Amino acid sequence: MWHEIDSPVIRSIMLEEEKKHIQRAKGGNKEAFGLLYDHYLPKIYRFIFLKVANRAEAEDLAHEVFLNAWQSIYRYKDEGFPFSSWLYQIAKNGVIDFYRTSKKNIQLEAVNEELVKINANYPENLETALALEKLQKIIRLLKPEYQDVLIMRFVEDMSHEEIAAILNKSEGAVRLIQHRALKELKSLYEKNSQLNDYGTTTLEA
Amino acid sequence: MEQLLSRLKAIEPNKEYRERSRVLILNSQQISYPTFFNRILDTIQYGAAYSLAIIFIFLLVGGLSMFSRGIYSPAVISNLDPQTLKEESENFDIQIQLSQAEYYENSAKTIEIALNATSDEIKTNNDKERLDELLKELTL
Repeated sequence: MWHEIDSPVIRSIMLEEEKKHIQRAKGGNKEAFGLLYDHYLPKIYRFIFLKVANRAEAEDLAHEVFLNAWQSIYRYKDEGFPFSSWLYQIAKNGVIDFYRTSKKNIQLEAVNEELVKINANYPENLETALALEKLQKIIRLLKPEYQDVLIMRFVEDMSHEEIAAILNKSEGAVRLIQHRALKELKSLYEKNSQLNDYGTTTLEA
Repeated sequence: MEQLLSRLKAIEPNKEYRERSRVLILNSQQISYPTFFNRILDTIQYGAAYSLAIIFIFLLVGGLSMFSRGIYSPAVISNLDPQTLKEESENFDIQIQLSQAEYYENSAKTIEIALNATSDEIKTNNDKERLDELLKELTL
């Protein structure tokens, strides 16, 4: 298992280590892929969960992502970006397919139970937990592109370069999307806070 | 807002799910890396399929004229083949000419016989008249 360290030297050593695991996984080594799975599952699961709003569906989709990755890892080509870029691309396509095939509309009120369970894990006070719950609901009201950038940038701490590679956009475009997404998120968050002050719990885009 | 977003890192998958999913994935069959030989086989397979389809369509719509003359083309209809029709028409003319010659030969013989018979009859008729004349003379 790797640890999240920001030092560029340690990061490059980790990337070298990761390359070795990928090469071994390409040769069918289960242990090597298991290590990649352990390291990346929480990130991919979180990314999917924040977009689909349902724990069971997020689990199914995350499972599909890693199953696809295991079965087609020979197609992966190292282009200078972390392995996670490839996994995020698979996850992003999986979420798009999920909405295309199921054509589900997220029922915000129906996911409250799931959110409460997750919020119980937060070592925060009730106020923070409620704020995070509201934030998750509002993220799902944003455009998928805005969701991707916000989650990757602020939840997963990815660089603009990495995000640009995953979304097939330039770094400048990613910065612009990030700016717009944050602006819209803040606007919706404040709007919702005002509505709550008047006793309304409905979330509207 | 950015700080609030970073707190969403606390979202984590269930431990039981994590282990179950891991076991299922690692026990599934990994698709093997296609070797050079496999790639060639795949290429040949696709190439052969496309070639056969093209040949079939080609033959179905008539194909080359040399195919249309042969026995291999399913599109050949012998009654419409110009070469066969020409040969048949030439043979037909010869047969007509031979039957005409045979007819003329047979009819000439028949006419000759008929003419002889007629001339004999005329002859006999003439003799009878002569005899009648002679008998008249004798009786007178």
